Amino acid sequence: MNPNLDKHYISIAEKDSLLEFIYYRFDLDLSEYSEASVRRRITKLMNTLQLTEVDQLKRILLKHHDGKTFFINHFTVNVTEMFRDPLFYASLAENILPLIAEQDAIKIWCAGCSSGEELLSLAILLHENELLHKCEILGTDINTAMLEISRNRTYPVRNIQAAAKAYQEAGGKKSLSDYFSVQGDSAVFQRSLFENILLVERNLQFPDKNNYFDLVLCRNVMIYFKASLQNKVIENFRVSLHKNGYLALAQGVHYFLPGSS
Amino acid sequence: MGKTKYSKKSIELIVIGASSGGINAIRPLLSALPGDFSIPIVIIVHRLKNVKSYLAELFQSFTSLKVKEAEEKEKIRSGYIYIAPSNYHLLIEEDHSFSLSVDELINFSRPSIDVSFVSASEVYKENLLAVVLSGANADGARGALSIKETGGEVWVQDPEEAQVNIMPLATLETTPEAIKLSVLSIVEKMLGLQEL
Repeated sequence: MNPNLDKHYISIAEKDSLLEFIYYRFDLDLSEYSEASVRRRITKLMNTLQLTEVDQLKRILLKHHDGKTFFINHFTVNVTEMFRDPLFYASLAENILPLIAEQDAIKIWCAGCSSGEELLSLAILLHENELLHKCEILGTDINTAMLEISRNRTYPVRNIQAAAKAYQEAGGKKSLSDYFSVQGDSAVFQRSLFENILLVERNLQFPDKNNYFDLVLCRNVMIYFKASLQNKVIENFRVSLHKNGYLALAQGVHYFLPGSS
Repeated sequence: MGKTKYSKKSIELIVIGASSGGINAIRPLLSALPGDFSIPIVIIVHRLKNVKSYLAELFQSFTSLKVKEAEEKEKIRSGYIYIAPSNYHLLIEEDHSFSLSVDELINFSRPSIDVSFVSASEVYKENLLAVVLSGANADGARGALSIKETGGEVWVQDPEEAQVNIMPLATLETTPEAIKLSVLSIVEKMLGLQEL
């Protein structure tokens, strides 16, 4: 059975009606998200809840004690894996890390960190390049349930074992199993990897004017945004970067040198 | 096969789904298309993730039409053959541009043929043709039904000819109105689409 496709796919009008409701009720603006994914995700949520009308979903969200969180936690795409696109990590280590390694403190922002696999991958990469100890890493996501999972550093062991090859291809110098212990069905990653990581809820639509980063990673989040929102988010990142900071997106690393402001 | 009578609708997009054994059907298909074949084609092939792939180059060697990996926000254009990129689902927006998603595996696959078929059906409706080729799982079967339900056409490679018959059989089961065809017939009918 395929919960994504069993029932009727919501129409554009139904989607618009729901987004308008969510905006007015929860102050959450999803109008600049790519519509095909929005329709798909809402259809999936409705199928999961066994609803046939968007009005039913609205009523559920109204009655829920924290409808906004409930909706976000179901709506966002959170699928991620350790060392996704291993060549990205290899390239990061080879091309970017040497450029920021000399600093006393390296500030990194992982925007859209989901359930934490990317943060762990990054931490492992930094550790093996002897940089983790001087990094301050901020991991943010709009989905609080995912942030909780990140904090636990615990994943199905089968998933992590499947990432062993990706770890090697990313330039891993040891063995992925050096970094976690197996407890039952779960792989629990070392607490030390997260010593310098702070996890915070954040919506990328709003700029952060308080921090300046040397490296911002935002992989596979922007694909869900329309071009207009992508441009705003990139501008928000630009404001957050140091003069010689770097922005890394998916499918290749973008070298980005913003102006001095 | 003879000329079949088409209704007035014209096909504006062709989506092809394939898995194991599918490339053996794709080669003759692409090779037969003339350089001025104007209907854009989107091919969803189950592919390995995290490896450098030469699929676009391979397909390009079969045809003079332009073959490329689909990029997000890219508009679908005539004269192009797009391949769904590895480890993403490929969606289509109302403005005929591509969108990507890293959503969970569907039918153990990402890209999933079902995902692209359903997405395309919502946008192109009766102006859509889906072709299901050889493959080892049922990906595409549900999407093909959606395409029929929104008025599109579905052709399926003859299971007796397909290298792996599971995918064609699965679609024929969900979508009885799908037309079973040999690759040669698929080629012939596809060339006929442009004459409309």
